[in-house]
Amino acid sequence: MRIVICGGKFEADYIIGKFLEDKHKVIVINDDEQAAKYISEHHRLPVIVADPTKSYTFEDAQIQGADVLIALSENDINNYITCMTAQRFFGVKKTICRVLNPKRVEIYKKLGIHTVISSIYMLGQTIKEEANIQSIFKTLQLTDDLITLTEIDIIEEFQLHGKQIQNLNLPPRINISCIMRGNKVVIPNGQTRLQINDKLMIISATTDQKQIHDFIERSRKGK
Amino acid sequence: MRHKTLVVGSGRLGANIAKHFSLKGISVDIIDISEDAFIKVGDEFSGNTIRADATDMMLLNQLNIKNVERMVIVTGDDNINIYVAHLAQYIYDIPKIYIRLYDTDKGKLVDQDRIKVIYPFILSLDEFLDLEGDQV
Repeated sequence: MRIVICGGKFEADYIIGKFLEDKHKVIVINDDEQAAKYISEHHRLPVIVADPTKSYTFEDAQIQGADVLIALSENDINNYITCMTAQRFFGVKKTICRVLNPKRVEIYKKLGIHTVISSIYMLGQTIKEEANIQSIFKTLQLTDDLITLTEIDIIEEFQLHGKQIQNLNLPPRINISCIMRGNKVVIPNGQTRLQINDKLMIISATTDQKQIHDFIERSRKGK
Repeated sequence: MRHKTLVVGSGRLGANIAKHFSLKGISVDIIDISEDAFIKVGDEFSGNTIRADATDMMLLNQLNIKNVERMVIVTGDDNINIYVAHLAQYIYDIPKIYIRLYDTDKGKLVDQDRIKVIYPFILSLDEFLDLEGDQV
């Protein structure tokens, strides 16, 4: 693939290394002379020192029809202009715009930038997912914290519904003690099929509880 | 009803456009990222001066942007002007949008059927040729 990297210093350096390893053709544009020198010396690669928000820079760099362009500078607005120019006038197939202000992720997408990334936005998403997991896990420690009762809501996302317990591949030493289905209590066996909105009660050694978390995490990703 | 004018960038041009509308009795807000910039609008100006970053959507949402009929985008940075013009057109659908661009090449990034672009370069060149009485 032909990949264009605009702006950024350490981020650009890292990403260029990755792409070169995979034998992609990399075109590097940076308007900061220090950064350009750093990247150029590190990768023995020509770096075009110019402003990537200007069309003539892209003409000189011959980026027409490139597969991917990544705008990495620390100026969100300049990254926006870089991506817009590349996708509208140079036929770049995919643009990736880095933003520092996470609120811009949604807006840039709305305005037509192919992909927008913000590390803080991603952090926020991760925390949200973590919080989701935490909220569906209720736990109660019994007998001097040696035994734990874990309650799990079977939501659709887990992809556990419709499966028989014997086919769940539960981790060792983990058994479902009972299931709350509506206001009925089901004492399950291997043939019991899980349904959405079931509440599973799992009694386990406290030291094994981490296994339950990991099991749920895995099932969520459909693995 | 849309009746307001919003000027983005309180440089010499922005400040004077804001003053002009204000003297005509039109309700005007002027935004600049620096407080000192508002010195240029002078005492006759009766509109609001707002110290803020116009590229921040939160701010634009707070400004009752639905009442804005005309947006004049004249900060000193072409890239910011284009971005704010895109917000004005695609997110807020402001009826009249004016923008100043130093780089004529960047004009193609805005929809010129919808956005009126002022190029100081072209105006100056025309004026020069006019003054020179150029025959070519």
